[in-house]
Amino acid sequence: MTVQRLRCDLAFVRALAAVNLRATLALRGAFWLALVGMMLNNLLYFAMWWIFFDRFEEVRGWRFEDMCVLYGVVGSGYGLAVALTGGVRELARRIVDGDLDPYLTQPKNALIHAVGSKGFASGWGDVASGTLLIGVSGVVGPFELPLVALAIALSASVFLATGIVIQSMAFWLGRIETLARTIWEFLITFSLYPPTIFAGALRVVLFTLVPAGFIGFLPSSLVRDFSWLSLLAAAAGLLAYALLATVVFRAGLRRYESGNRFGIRA
Amino acid sequence: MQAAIEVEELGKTFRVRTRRQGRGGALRDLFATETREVDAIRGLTFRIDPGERVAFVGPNGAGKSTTIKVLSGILHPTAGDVRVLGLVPWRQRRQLGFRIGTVFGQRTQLWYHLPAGDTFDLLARIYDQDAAVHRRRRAHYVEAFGLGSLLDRPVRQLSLGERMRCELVASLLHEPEILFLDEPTIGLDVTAKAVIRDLIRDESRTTGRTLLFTSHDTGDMEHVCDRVIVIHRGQLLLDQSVEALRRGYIGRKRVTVKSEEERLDLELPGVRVVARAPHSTELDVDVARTSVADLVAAVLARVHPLDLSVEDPPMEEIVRAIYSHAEAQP
Repeated sequence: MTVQRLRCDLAFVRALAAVNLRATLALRGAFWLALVGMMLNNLLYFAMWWIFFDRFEEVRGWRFEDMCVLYGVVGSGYGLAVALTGGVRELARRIVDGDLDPYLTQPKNALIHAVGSKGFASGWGDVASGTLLIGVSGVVGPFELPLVALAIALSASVFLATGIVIQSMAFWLGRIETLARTIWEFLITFSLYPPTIFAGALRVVLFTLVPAGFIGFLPSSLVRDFSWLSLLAAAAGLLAYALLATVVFRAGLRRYESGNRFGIRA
Repeated sequence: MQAAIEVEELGKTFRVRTRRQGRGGALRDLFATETREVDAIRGLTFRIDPGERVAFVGPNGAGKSTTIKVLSGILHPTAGDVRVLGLVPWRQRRQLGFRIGTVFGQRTQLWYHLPAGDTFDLLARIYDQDAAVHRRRRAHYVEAFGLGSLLDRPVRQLSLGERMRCELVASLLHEPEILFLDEPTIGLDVTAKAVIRDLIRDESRTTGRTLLFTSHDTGDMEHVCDRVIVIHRGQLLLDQSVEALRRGYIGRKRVTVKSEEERLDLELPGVRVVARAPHSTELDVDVARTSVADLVAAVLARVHPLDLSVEDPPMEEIVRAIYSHAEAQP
């Protein structure tokens, strides 16, 4: 890949993100409603952990502030993924309905284009509540802010890669939107548990089949207790899942059957 | 001269899941599925030279859209060889993408909640356009397609005809060598259809751009194209000039007259009644023998019409006529 091509592709990604954001903000009322609604939803759910840690001070060394950081990183990561690359949530439907056609005839990466062409306002609510929780954890000072951003970006990227792998199964299995959503939600739930409660084989699963460790535990550990080894492991995990997502999507495209359903690009 | 499009023995087979009949069928389908293969395209061969305007027509399910999707790199074929501008579409999708434009009447590349101008600017990035070049082309097409007053409105507020004009501009901004149009007039009313046809024809004549235009509307090919390829059940049925097709198969109109009088009787050369109901008469008119104008004059002289419509014969009828003609040949 030449430098010129890389520069052009980056310009495309930036322009796509900007248009996507404008489209999300175009319906102002719906945007604020979704953002505030999701914030309230997340904070009310988190109240359960607040009550829990008020009763039991720690779970195998895991304390309330650790939970705030974990929940903040996972929530913000998921939010960022669906706010900027929300097309991933609809990838299975687009595959089955043949809605990938416009992306496949244009000279840019069809996968990036498909996932980046939709944004969900509720994702910004996840980001807002997530960063709020990281803020109130009390373990983050101004010097840790770049680490917070890095952790959220890592979490969002693994969310995205995993989402692509799950949704791309539609190339082989057909209409699996509900199943894909359930698996993704299962992944979120799994990522939000204190990792110290998992041990042995289950811990291996957390870093392989169900990459909850790369979504929650490793990125949040960068904020709480940074180490180069953790960063390296998180980056390696992301790379592996990104590679898997690309390979699965490309293999699936050979089975793509398109379609003639009327469609809009909302 | 290198062909714009070369297709040789193209085949595309889809695997379709079949459902078992009966009460137990649905239950058995849960555990084991049965599939069968459906040939969407079979042994299709043709060549299109640069600058040609070709209508690719056939009835619903003929394989028109599947062919255009193979040619534009969306679908992988099952058999055969395809070269578009010397490239293999499904293997060299990126290179080909810079040189072709596509309009799918049933799909959109416009952002629904944003004005079309936002999509145009994003397309400049997609096609790596220089900013000054993009601005010049955008201004040119906005004027040529009369989009000035539409550019501030979100796409969702545009009519289907207005949206299609925007789709055409979106597909032309990078000045593609070939424009693939898949049913661009589908769902449009008569006026909007005429506007779209004129715009496509004039733009292509001015620039010499190659057009491949799929439609099941005979009017589209008559107004826009010089050559027509008719396919049926995935196979080539006819490849000739539109003029020859007009002489042979589409020199007829279907005229429906609704009148105050219960019955309309006409005896004109080349005119026959194909359906009759009280106050309504459907006529098949050979326009080479009696023009539409003469027919309307004759109708007005005999009855008080409440409504009168003139339509092209449906594509299915033309295909039937082509088949009958082929069978009548020794």
